Amino acid sequence: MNRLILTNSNSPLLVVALSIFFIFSVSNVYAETDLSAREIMEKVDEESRKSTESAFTRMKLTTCKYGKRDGKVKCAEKARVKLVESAQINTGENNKDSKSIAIILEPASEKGIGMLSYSYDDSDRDNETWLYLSALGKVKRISVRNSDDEETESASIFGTEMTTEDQETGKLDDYTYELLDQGTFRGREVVVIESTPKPHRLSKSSYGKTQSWIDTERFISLKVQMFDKYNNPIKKLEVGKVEKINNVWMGRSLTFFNTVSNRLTNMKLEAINFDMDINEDFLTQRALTDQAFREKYLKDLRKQAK
Amino acid sequence: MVNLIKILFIYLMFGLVFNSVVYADDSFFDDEVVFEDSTQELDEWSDDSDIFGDESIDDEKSLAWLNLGVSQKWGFNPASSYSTTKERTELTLGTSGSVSESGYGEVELKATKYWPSDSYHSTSASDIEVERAFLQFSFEDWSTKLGRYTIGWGELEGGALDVVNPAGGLTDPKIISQWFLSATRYSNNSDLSLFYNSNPSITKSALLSLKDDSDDEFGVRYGINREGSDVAFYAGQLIPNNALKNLIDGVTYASPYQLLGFGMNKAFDDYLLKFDIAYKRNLEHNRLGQFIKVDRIDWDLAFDIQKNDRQWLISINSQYLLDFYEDYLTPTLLASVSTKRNTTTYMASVSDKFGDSDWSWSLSNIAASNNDLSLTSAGLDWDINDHWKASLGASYANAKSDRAFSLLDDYQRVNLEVKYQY
Repeated sequence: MNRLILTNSNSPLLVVALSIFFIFSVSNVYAETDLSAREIMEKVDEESRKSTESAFTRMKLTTCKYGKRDGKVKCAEKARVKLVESAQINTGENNKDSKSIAIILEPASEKGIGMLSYSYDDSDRDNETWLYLSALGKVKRISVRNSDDEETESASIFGTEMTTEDQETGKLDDYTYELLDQGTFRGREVVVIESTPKPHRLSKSSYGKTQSWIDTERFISLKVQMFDKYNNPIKKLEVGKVEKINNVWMGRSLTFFNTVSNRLTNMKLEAINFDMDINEDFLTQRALTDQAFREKYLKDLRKQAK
Repeated sequence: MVNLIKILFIYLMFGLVFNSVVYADDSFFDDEVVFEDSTQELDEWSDDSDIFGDESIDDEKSLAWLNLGVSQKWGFNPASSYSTTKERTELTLGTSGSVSESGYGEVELKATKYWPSDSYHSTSASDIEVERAFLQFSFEDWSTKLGRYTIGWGELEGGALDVVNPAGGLTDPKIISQWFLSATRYSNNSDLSLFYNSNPSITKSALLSLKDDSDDEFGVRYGINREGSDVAFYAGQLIPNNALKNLIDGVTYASPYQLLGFGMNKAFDDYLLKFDIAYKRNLEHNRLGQFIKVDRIDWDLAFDIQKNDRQWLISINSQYLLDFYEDYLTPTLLASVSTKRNTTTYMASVSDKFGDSDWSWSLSNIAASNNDLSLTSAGLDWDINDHWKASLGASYANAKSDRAFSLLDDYQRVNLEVKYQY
């Protein structure tokens, strides 16, 4: 954050310098806050969509209970690791909906479990999720958090601290936005924006509000603090390894800290490829039940990714 | 000097006014995060998995092609001074992967050693089974699958349409895989599947001989996926999963019957509604002095309710005989009891996680109409790590001694299983 330093001087040069400083300072603020909080969030959403457009990723989800040792956050137990491949495309009007599939490669006990998700921008359309359970030989639709029960949380993704709500994009009309602060965070100019769900959304959300530290140049979140409906901080997301990949800025290491259970999940993108040729047909229930079809597509995507 | 102060004041006010939004709440940064100290904070939680300390996390599993599992299972009967009913070791070996440009295969073999205290030991000391073995090929809109696997019909497990693969029964609901040839044609938001099974598995009593075990079964399923709901239509000729004893000749039969069915699910808020209905024609049944064929309507309705990690399943399962006479009989182990026109089974189960999701518990109760049966089960699972798991389960059944479930009266079991998977 810019700090004001006033010295006891009557030098005209100082007046000019201060004039320039203030004008620069104010104009700089104008440049960064010219956009409303809502407009900034729209840009963040837009950038987020770019990072998921025809994307094929291989990620490692590491979950553990954490504590602090020597002032640093450390896993307090042997971490659980899941290796997941996922493919995603944006669809629908203005490409604001998305379809994705995630398949567990490891551990062996969960190998092959697939999760298909359709996410809709329209607030009136509930997102959909299906799981394939090979032991039962069928696809199961799972009920995702859509109810008005305030105490219910969104479904966890593969037993991690990430939930389906954390992965949502769009539905911007469901929130009000307020610009809380502005400054430098990890060497980047950021604004802090508070997103508060509107009443109809609040009843469906696990969070009472979220605060996002947004890089005002790259329009990505560097940190997100989530609060419950009683204004208690319950979870935070820290984004690291921010890199520009195919002209899209994104974090390759996302860590979700559940500050209530003291558990964390680190999502490390081991490989990410954009602008892949991902056919919408792949993001259907067929990819869950037809392993030959799935493997053929994944092999093709892996080849494209090389 | 005064002028300078005035100018500074004006600039200060000017600056503050235009920065008023962003300076509105200085305490905002009193949180653990201070921008200037951000580097240290960054080091705390990222970037190179410092979090995970000295314990290295293996990225790749050696012998990645091999799936290996070892289980040790024990079962005890509390009603008989906790005598051992089950003591067996299971070893599973499997692999999976592409077999050609368009093919995929999986195989899993299970070897079981029944220790002397296991009740099955008198039948067999050891056993090797193919748990799963199939080849699947995918061309354009078509997919074919040949081998031993499981086909799940209907929405509710154990419901009106879950009739393709037999299960171990109320006390052991594990589904048994079968040899199938199947083909599926995928279209936009729909799929049409056909299966054929030349040697259907039938759960039968070892004490009774089985007739009519040479019939084939086949079926077709047409599924439609819609936003918020999936529906499917079913038709087929199937073999009953449980053979029926003919009270006249004492032989068990499993003759084919025909099925027409419909299943659907619909998501409402946290609830998932499941509904299945099936018309079953030519089901074998006993009548006083006759072994006849009857038609029946089976249906079930279930709600799957998800509240955080807590999951509830509440279901009703009904079987209604279309043609009914008072002298209809249902065989029991030693004799027979009268058949009710409508048999309803209610089930409620709940499961949840605790202890950072490493532990989970479950509780379920199955009750048959007229209090013919009440089966209560409880389970505790411990997900020790990515390789080790342990589970403890207990079941207790109370059944009317003069009704169809009399065999299960005072059934008590405590089961323990430890499993390693690589």
